[in-house]
Amino acid sequence: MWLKKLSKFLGFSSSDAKPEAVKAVARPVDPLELLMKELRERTEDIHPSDVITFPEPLRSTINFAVRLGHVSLTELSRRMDMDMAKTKEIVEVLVARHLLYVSDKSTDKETYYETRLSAMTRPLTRPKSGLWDKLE
Amino acid sequence: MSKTISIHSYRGGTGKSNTTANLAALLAKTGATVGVVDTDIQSPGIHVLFGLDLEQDGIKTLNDYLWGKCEIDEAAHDVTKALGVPISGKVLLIPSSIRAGEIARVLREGYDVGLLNDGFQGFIEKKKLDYLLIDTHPGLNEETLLSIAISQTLIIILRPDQQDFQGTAVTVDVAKKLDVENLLLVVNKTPTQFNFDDVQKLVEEKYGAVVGAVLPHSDEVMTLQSNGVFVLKYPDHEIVKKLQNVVEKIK
Repeated sequence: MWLKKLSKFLGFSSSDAKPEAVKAVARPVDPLELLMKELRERTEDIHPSDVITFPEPLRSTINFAVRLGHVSLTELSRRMDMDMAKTKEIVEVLVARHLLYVSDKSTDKETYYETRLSAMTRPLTRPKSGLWDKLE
Repeated sequence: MSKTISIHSYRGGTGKSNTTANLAALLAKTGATVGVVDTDIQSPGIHVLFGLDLEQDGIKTLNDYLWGKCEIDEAAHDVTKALGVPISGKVLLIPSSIRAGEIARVLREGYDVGLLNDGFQGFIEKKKLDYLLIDTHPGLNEETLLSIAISQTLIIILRPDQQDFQGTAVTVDVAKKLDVENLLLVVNKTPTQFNFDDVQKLVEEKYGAVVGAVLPHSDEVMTLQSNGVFVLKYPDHEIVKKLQNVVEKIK
């Protein structure tokens, strides 16, 4: 009953209300947006194992850039088939997570980046006992 | 421009280090400067094939570089003369430490694989390498993924064995996700009673990847006992011709 009243108040019939609600719930989530949200929220750098799970077109673009060692913003935009503003938004997250570094070669007209995959093989703290010195 | 080649296998004991040393020697025979890095820090061994004595005082290893004790080029050792035959090119080896304490330290503390990446680039630039061969640790971990991610060519060694077949499928899948340009499979230690053409066809169909060579199980390789590089000791052996085919696919 309350739904009918609310629907009438908002100016559409109750039969309209249900499909609208369903539409809102079923809106597909962009995997790239989801990844960017996750990368913004975390503090760890991007690991080689992360890249494997990246959605396209980001994964193949990162693979290309890592193998080459450097890449320009224009090239990233072209490879991801995105406008410069959207590309820059993504790139800023990758810079914050230390996958890309702004290169000294950057000019007013073009930004260049160097790539560097990183990760600790064993994220453990150092022992306090001087064990390794004793073994060496 | 230098080419980076990772030699990997899903399981241990496939002949990864032997294959790496053989390919390095064959490439150096063409006049190339070849760098080899033993990234199998947990179980290093390729230095034995190149006759490098790691017990010498003050000899630097990859471990020293990773812990900031030396520059990457200080850990590179010219092993060309130790190959025992005249070669127009050069082989430079960066070994991993065989000291128990240093291996244990890596296992306990780990290291930043980004340093490996920097080291590979530094090695290529400082020594003007034509080829960099990376002998990896078996299985998948962050170090091997990094090596695969930066390589133009990935060679996966497998034996005709069900465990190897299954594990190799995982590795091939990962290599495809990392967009490796040139993926080559090498089937090693194949029993001589097998039909090698059938093995090649089966493996190529299963993985959708090129088989660079099907190598036979060889008593000569076993008899050599890692006392030298096989392709130089037995230059007329059928294994050498098959590995030459792999070299052509790398070049």
